[in-house]
Amino acid sequence: MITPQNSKNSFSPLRLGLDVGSTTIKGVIYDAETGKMVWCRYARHFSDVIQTLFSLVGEIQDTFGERSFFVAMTGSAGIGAAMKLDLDFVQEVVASAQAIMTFLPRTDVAIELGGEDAKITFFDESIDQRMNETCAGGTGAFIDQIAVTLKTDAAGVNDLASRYQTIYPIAARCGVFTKSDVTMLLNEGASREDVAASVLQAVVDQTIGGLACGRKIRGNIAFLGGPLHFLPELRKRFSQTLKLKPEEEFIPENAHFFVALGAALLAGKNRSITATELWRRVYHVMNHAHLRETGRLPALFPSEEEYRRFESRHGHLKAARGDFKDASGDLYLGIDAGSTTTKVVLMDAQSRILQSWYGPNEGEPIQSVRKILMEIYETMPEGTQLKNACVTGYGEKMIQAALGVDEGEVETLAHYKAASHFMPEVSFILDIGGQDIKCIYIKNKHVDKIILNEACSSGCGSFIETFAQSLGYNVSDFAQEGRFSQHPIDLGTRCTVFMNSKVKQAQKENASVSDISAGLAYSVAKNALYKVLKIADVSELGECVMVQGGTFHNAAVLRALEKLIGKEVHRVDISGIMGAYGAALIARERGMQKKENSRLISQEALTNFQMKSTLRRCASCENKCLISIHKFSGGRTFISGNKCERMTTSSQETSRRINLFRCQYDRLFKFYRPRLPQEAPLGEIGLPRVLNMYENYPFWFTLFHELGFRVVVSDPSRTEMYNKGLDSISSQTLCYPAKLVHGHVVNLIEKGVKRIFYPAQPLERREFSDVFSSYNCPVVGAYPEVIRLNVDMLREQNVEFISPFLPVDDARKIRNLLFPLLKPLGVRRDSLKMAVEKAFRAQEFYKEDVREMGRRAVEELLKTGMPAIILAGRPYHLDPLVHHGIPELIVTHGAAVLSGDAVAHLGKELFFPLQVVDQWGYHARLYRAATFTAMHPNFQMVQMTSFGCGLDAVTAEQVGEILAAAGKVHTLLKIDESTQLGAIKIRIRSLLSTMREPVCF
Amino acid sequence: MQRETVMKKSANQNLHENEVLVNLEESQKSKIQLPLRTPDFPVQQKDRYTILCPQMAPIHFALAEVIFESCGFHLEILPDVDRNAIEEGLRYVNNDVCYPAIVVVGQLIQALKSGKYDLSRTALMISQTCGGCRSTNYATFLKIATLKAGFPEIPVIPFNINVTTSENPGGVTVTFSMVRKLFFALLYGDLLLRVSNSCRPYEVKHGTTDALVKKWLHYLRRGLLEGTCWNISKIAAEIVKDFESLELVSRRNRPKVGIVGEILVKYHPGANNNLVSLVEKEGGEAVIPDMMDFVLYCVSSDQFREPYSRVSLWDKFTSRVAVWLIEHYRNKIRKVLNRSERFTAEGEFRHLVKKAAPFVSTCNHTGEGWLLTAEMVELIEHGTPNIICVQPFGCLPNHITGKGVMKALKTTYPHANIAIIDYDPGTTEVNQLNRIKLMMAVAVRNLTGKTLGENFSDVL
Repeated sequence: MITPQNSKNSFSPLRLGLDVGSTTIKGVIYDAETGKMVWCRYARHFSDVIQTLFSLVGEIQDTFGERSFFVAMTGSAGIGAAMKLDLDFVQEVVASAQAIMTFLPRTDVAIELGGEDAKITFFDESIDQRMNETCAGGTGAFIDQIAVTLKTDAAGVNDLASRYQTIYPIAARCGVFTKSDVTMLLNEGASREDVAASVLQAVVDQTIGGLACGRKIRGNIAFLGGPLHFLPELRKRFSQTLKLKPEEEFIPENAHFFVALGAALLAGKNRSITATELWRRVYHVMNHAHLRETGRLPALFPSEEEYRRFESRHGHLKAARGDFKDASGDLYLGIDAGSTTTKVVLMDAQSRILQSWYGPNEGEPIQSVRKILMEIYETMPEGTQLKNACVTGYGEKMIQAALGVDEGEVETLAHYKAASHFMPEVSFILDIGGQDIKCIYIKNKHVDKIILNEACSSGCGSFIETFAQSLGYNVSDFAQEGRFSQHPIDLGTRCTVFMNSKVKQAQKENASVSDISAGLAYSVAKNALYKVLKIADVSELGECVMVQGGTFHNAAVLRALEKLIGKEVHRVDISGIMGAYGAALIARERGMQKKENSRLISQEALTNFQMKSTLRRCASCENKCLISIHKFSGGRTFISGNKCERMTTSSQETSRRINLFRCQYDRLFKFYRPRLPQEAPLGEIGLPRVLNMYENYPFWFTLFHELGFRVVVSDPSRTEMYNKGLDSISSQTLCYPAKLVHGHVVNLIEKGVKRIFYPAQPLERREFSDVFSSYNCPVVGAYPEVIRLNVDMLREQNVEFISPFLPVDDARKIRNLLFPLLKPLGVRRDSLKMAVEKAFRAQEFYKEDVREMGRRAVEELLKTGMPAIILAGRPYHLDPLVHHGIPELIVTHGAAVLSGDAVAHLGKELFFPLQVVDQWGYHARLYRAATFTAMHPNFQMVQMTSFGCGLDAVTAEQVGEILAAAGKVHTLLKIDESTQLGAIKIRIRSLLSTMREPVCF
Repeated sequence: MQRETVMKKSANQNLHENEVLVNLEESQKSKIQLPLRTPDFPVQQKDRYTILCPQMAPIHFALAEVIFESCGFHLEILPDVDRNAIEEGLRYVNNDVCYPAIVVVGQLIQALKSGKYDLSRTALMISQTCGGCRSTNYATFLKIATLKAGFPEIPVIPFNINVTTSENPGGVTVTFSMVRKLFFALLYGDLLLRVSNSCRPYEVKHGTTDALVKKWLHYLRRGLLEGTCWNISKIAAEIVKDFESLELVSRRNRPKVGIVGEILVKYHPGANNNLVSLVEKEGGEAVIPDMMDFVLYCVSSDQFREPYSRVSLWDKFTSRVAVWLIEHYRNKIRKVLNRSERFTAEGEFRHLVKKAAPFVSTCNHTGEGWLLTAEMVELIEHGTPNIICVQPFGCLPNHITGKGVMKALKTTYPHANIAIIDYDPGTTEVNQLNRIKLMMAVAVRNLTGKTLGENFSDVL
């Protein structure tokens, strides 16, 4: 297709389209007369747009000499360049639409993935395009990022994915999380092939679920853009997911040039310029000052002098070291098996570091620890013995099982241990690692509060790392660059994905790599402080702030943090291995009292060490987790991938512990038995097991049961079910429980139900006299509207969807509103009246039973003094898929679980008037459950909230205030479809350990 | 079924309103530390205070300002939002809260910190809606933020727009005369916004429209203060005449673009990144539905929420009277507008209500509720098929009546060209711009009748 023509023969101008994207520049020359593409180039610009453009244009000049061109630019970074070069600019989206209409006129839907954007364009009467506006997860840059995690490149991912066997569920909501999901999967022994395919599947799910927003993707599909062009496996995942026939797939051979082609087609006909003129303009701009739009921040180090002072200030905190060769006596080993790195510290009885290791785990934590242990065994001098070993971090349990490490400790405590060793008066520890931020508030030498970044990885080191790589730098060089930037770009706070596009914007304005590096340092620090920790007032942090974690080796980040909090912080010279150091200290402390030596795996066993992993589905509950069973030589096994510890602990022990979540869920649904088909004169009616049905199911079941319907409730939530509903979800920023509704409705339809009842109830019952109102959340209260309007299957399968607006507490009104709807189905007015009455009674029985459960449990717990966690949320958090087995997790860690709803009535009287307007039905219970928690020493509260839940931004503050008034910790867990519970586990363990014994060193 | 056991349990319940429990609770209660609270606004000393109020709709609020002044409140509407205000908002407001809360709270805190105000004589005012939306708790966010930022002495005044419900915890009681004046301010504000938006894109001399708006604002502010502009027909006619005499280019083909959505993002140029100017720059003419519709939507809710909630006959009656009264005055303006050649008036409220019905129930009362859908339908049916629906990122009610109805709207009106834009403090403008520009490209194309298969570069 690329045939440079004899340029002297023709004098009509050619058309040049330049697509300046976030990572690449694509240039196309199109000859309108022959309808051929006569030249094309694809080049990565490494954020140096003008330079790359210059070399491209130079090439054009060489090839085409004095021919003239109609030129148009497009692409996300093209606006600024076009302006400066005085060229036409065409919207990227318009350009791509034009190219498709011209070259692939039969296309119904075009799916286009680019460097940082994903688009779906529907071609019908009016072209409709959806772009990823809030999330860049699932794009080219994202695949590149994941490829780095998998130690390959995008093509390598494709290659790996072609040999997959199993696809794991990965939440593709955001690249950063996916990355930690991937790391976790790798850590748990999933094969790289499977992970690669899962990632591609996640991209597909993200694109379809996130962009289609309720529109079906069907007909002829064109796949465009770099990633889809270069990764056939990705296309395969798309066609499989969309169930495409081969003839419905269009894969133009120049898919990655389509946008540039569109621009070429649209290039304005009124002004042509010669290649030389174009070259001259680019040359001029390259050597010319540029304008700035992105905000700039103060320089990190205004002078060389200041930098030197900073360096010397941070040089004085040093860990004691000893010489390994001269060591004698007992040795203690601390291992920090992090998500991406492995840190090990070996110390002697005087707490001197003899040897330390810090390195990436390459996705194989066990092997990396094993290598280090081998090294230790080989170099251990005579007269020394390993007395005790302790492991902490993500891989704690697995390493403990595999290598027989004596102790395991939750990482937050290990970090505090280490910090307090250097600074006994430490008041605040901030640890920024590769993927996680931990911050520990210490008050009176007690761990007062722990905040982890389970919701957001934007303030983490790995972001800088991958960014550095994408710009063609290694991390330390990139960090060096940042120190002396005089005008760091302002990237703001919020998701790293948005930062990507901010950087995009800055690049557009020709910001230097140095400014970007310093800007990233600022935003990492800012994100950590404002987004993750939500610090309003830096005095909260106390006098002695300590920072640790590998990210703080980066002087730019450290300095940015100091600038932001306005005080000097402390960094130990071993800041990267503080976790391991803390673990070693714990090993030493606990080992001192022991008589025998460490049970750590012996040298021979280590040499012959082998592990085998198998995968299977756990059958213990509805979650049906895909679990990996690792068998290690020496007969030890370890199970991972499980959400709860049911598989791994004896069922007897845990079953004795109170878990009201389970009980309430069973009471809610299993308690009611529907009529048999032959006993149901009025036929079947379906109720979806969603949102407020978790509150009102007893009512609606009883109502229809009594009327003579066979009530069919949708199955317990499953991930597959969720996926089935994906394409009709109209808003991508909804909370997970609401998105699940679509799947449940599809499930009912698939069960053959011809009639579905799902009422909209904006108000809940008023359960307390002192509330302002008892609203439902806007989504919960009116979601049936969305289902009615968006689930096409209802119409296609002729399913009657009954979704009236109804009150919850007014029997007469319910009767009057329902009767006209149910009359055609054969319901009589008098039987409706009876049924409504019974329904009210059933609902009251249910509520009373729940309250009774709570009352009894509390009584028993007060008797035994067992620690208990009140797990509060919305009624629909009872759904095991939504709560991800958190209640079971708590139970297996030795505490009882009460649901907030079951104890709310025990905390009726608030201590003080609430700050918030007490107007939501479910939350009124939440505040009262918090009040109850505050009153009892051995109860703690954990609040669950779904991502995107706008209301909990309000309520969490209030719950926090109530608990704080009684000096209690407020633990807020954000949950969504992601199934990895690592961070949640840490928080719950930390919480439980503070409950068991006040942590005090 | 198993109900008997349940009954038995209930009978037992009184046995343990537990003694151990009670004792424990007593001892724990003594340890409770009461949290800080912001003071109530001392209404009696209102003339002592400067009340800071965040911007929402520049034209409307400029008029409302003087009304508070005339009622003895020294109100000061804060000027435009800058980046720093948003940073302040992010610092003191939970970041998961919707964007408007971050904007307004940030703006107020910034003002407190500026040192321009005597803090012992400063109070903050913030609007408070009713209903299941988060906006009911904006005052709460503001209170928490002022405490966190170290201004515990500053009173926070929730101002409730919904005059028919007396439930307004801790707020300012609105007198009838004030409501009346505010009502006029709103009518004039809507009128000025409407006529100026339909003139500005076509003005021959840049800035003439805005100068005229300024002139009228000045006149009306004085008029409202002195009580000399109650003759709405007359003044509206003068305004319309004045704007009709503006020199405009002959009407080029500019597509009309409706702007609907969450109320603050819709009217506040600082919160929507100057959407109106953007639309005009991209070759369109912005059409913003009247703010009075929102008031009517709130006032009328008592007529529509009956299916799910208790509404007294009296409430229903007052709601009807209020709607009738408001429409009575609006009709006067409508008459004037419809007489003019250049401008068109918006349809009557009772018709608007019917527009929503085929799509969503009028029981949707959170946020903009059914009004949002109705406005979109109204726009599409009256020659404005191009719509930008704006909302804060993660806006809960708009999941339903905004994004939720898109598919159905598109099916019913295939020519509708709707862009949904989310605003939040983190997103860069690039994405917003892209979407708006594509939407504008389609709008221009639809208007000029070119199909995308042809070359339409001359259109762009």
